[in-house]
Amino acid sequence: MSVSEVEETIKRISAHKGVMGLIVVNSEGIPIKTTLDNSTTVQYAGLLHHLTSKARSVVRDIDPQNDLTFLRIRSKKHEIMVAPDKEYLLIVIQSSDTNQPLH
Amino acid sequence: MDKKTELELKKARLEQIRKRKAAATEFAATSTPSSVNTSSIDPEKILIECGITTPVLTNSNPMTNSATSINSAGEETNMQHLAVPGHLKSMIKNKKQSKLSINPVSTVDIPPKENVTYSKETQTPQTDLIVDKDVKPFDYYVLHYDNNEEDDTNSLDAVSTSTGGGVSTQTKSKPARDSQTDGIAKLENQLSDEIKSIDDKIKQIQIKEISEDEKQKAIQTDEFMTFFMRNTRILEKALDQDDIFFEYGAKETSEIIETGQAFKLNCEFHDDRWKNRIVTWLDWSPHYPELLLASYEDSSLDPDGTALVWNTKFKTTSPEFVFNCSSWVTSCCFAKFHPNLVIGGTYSGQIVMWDNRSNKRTPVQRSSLSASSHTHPIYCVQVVGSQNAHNLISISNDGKLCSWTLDNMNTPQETLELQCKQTKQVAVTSMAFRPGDVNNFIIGSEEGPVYTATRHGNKSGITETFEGHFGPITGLSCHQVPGPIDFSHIFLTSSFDWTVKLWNLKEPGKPMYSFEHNSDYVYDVQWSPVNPALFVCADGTGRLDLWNLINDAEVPTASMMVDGAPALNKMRWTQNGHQLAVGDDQGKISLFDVNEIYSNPRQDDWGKMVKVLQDLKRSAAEMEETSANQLQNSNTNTPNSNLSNSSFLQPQMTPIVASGLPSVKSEPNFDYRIGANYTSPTGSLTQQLMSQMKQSPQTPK
Repeated sequence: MSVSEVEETIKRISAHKGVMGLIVVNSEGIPIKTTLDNSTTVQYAGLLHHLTSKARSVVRDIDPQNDLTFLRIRSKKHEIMVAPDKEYLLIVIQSSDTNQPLH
Repeated sequence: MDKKTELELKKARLEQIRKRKAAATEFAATSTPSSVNTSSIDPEKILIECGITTPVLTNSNPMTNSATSINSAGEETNMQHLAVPGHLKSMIKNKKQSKLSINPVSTVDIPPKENVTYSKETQTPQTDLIVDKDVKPFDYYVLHYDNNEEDDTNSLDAVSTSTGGGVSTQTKSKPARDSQTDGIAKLENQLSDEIKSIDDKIKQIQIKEISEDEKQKAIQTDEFMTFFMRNTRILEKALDQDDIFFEYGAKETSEIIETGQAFKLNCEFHDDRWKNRIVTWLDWSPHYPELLLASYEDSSLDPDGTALVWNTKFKTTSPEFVFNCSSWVTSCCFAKFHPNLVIGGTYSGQIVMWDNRSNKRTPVQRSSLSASSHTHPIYCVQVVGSQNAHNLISISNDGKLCSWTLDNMNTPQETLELQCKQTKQVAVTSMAFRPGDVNNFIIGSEEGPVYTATRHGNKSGITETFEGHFGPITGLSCHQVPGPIDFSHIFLTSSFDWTVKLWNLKEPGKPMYSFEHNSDYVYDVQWSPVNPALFVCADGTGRLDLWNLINDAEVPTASMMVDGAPALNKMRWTQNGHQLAVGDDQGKISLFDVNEIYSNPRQDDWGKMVKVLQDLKRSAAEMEETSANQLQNSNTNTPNSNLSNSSFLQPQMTPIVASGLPSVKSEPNFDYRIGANYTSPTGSLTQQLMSQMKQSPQTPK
């Protein structure tokens, strides 16, 4: 797996029907990779980083042996998918109605 | 002088006052009796007559007291009234004396009014300043009263307005409102604090931007790679998931559900990176029925061998795993008892093993390229045996069989040279083990014959020869449907000679039957894993034929042309026999749903199949007789008329063999890839064969 493959994968996911953007955020909430513009990226990264840590603490509070593995937020306009890991977060924003043209 | 005048003035005043007093006493003596009599006698009389002492009289006592006190003020008007109490007093005194008695005391307990006090000072500190001192006690009482009886608002309002008690109305409602407003204020404060803290954090994040170099460094770490690989796969599956908000009742479905169609395209797997690369091999995962392994031919752009694992469950547009190696992969399979291992046979003769647990696309193990193992392309790899004792069997194009243990892929455990007639190498193109057998297997060769062979025992190597095909064998399939009657002795072969042949292991030499419906190379044939009478074959024109021997042995039960008419190279049924994966020469894999009407067996199919096989055997014997007769008569007949007959036995193909196939036979390392530019520089061997086959009817014997 090389950096080019990472780029390739990002390209492939971005080309997926309905996908509006992909962000990789590190453990401090700093975006490392993004396909969106700076302000949107920072906003999403900051907010979703908090939400994910909150969601994780919810899961852990309910059962300390448990952990958060995936977070999906379905809204009228978008679906935000967060794949959390120890070190990073992978965020993909997808348009809710994939039949409709984006933006 | 002044004093004298002052004294005189005073004396004059005194005299005036005395005069006034005298006049007043005179006036009182003359005027009051008439007025008092009329006013006082009347009630007296009435009272006496009735004999009742009215409480009015007793109540009047304070009045008199007050009147006397007022009298001291020296008011004239009050002086007039004084006369009246005088009369009354005497009367009351008389009555009191007569009517003294002891009464039982009835005590009435009136609870004191709860003194709802609230400190005006603390809550409304300014009221004292505003409220007039004179009004204060009155105001206070009113407040008391109103606090308990809220209805009486008018009086309160009146008072409040008159006495600057606007404050008092406020004080009345303030406590409740205050508590509410206090709570809201507190919440507001908390919220604003939280917002502030979040803003601060966001600011911190914004501040803590890292440089591009650091980002790049982070991306290059192994940790990131593992994370990224894993999670992108998850996300892609999530992206491809069906819409969970789909409502069945919401829209009219425009799709017409077609019934009776044998093949229905379920999904296609292709990627531009592997476009126009022939699918060389297909295999379904035994552990995860949704995973499909496919190997691809090399291309001029990308010389690497490629094997991809596709996921049919999530229908992802990208492969689940990508495996590469230095030489192109000619055959591949899942390691039956290891869910993570994938094995590939390559064109160079190397066996490679990938592990999907590692993030690397390169093989984790590979065999050494030496004379001890394969040095020719490997067209067959298969894991045989049981969970505890299994081997990987591979056969290369030069007829060398190697068995391996998966733990050590460096050198083979056993090797065996497959030779026919003791000397000649067999160019193996396909291999099939009989179900449940690890020793006996069937191989198809480039020359056309099919052989049975054994791995162990005295006569290891080729045991029987099945002559019948006149072109390289492309596909080989053992009957392996479990059922009440065992048909594991029959198998099918497909060949470049446009035919599919049915064989019986117990009767070597001649095929049981030849299916001659195709008009191109037949690239693969596969028995259904569930239906004993069903098999499917694919040819170079893009046609899929579904044969059900119970229905008909002369024409396929169902046929379909694949879109774009690609040459279909490999097919594999899913374990349940309901789906068929077809790989073509465009690098595309199509997954077809096979209609249940065709795919599912009926209960009596096994019995019927026995009968069908017997019929085939009999008809084959009859055909042999007639063909023998025809051969006798052939001196008079032209070969053209012989061919134009719809007979489907060997004579049709003999001319082709005579003219076309020796060149194939002379080439031990025949490359059976579709359209491979291998033997001839001008055109491919397949094209040569093709043209020969098309010319064949015209060629004289």
